[in-house]
Amino acid sequence: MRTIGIVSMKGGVGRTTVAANLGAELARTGRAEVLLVDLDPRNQLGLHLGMSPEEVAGVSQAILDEPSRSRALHRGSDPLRWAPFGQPRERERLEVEERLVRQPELLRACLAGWSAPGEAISVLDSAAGPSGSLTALVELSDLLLVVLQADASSFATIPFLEEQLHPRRTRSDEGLSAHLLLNGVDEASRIGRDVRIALEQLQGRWAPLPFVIHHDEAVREAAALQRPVVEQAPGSQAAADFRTLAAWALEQLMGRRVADLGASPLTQAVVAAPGT
Amino acid sequence: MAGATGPGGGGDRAARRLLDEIGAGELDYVGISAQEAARQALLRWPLVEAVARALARASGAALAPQTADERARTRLTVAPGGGGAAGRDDAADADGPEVEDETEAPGPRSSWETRR
Repeated sequence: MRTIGIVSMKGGVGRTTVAANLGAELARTGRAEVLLVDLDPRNQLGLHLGMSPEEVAGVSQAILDEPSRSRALHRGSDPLRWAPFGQPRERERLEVEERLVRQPELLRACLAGWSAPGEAISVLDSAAGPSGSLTALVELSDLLLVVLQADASSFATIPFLEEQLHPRRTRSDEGLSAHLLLNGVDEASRIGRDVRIALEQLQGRWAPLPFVIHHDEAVREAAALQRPVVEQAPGSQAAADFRTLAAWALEQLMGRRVADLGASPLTQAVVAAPGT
Repeated sequence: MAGATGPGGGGDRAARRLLDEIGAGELDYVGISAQEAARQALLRWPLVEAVARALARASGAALAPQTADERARTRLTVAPGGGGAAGRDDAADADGPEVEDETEAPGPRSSWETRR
């Protein structure tokens, strides 16, 4: 099983939306069985997929009790299953945090309780910023997506990425493959364009992916209908963006070739300018 | 149009709004190099610029030379290719003299001051 971690250094950037829609699109391709796991105590991931707001059971319970039996907490059916965080009491939530920091392998045990019939991908959604779930995700992930918006406050979190992500990694078998994903991009926003240009100048580890998830009202409407936008509005811009993201992720995880990821219009405009 | 549309200023707001509405905002950057587009982007937004400077400082990348006007505003920009470990050597080699960051820790500023 390969694991994708979805993280963000600040809240409100659409991390859970990205996790839900990426997972749904990966499952829709038919190329892998997908398990989405919510590690954010706000317990929002399942709401994108039909969960009742009153749902209280979840992976937090498995981490505290018996990780190997976590399969019993899964919702949905193949090829897309998902596990909510649950609604533990405050003292239990703090205990979950502490356990994930001290024993990130507990999360691995939770995932091991899921035996998919074919190729399998787990998509893990963390809480925003430093947390026990971030520690566990960095440890377990084969591919890490750092979600941010094209604004100055998201840009201001970048200097902390190195500090927050890499010291948490103890696996020495391979490097951490982390990528910046811009979400909710408005092509008409001047600050958005300028932040993207500033990001594209970061030619090292933190250069952003060459595609973005655009701002699209269809995403909010789909969330209100508790369906992934790739199912609710497959012809929307956001659905097309998530298809691109899923194809890229498959290529990263399984070596599958993607014919044309395409550069962003902004990148094309700058690259095409004379004198570059 | 490049450089004429800083936030809150300029007489072409109506034109700017029209361009945004038709999705032609990228015209801001047509006809200028990627480096110049980045320089202008940083100058428009102090927070973005401050973060870019911190990233450049942390990676040891060279900082771009300033014009007199920019120096007066104590604004520095990231050199082309700077900001990441992969481009560090190229930036240091190719971009000419490094400009001192005026916000570095205090100390003797010249041999004359040292002598005093």
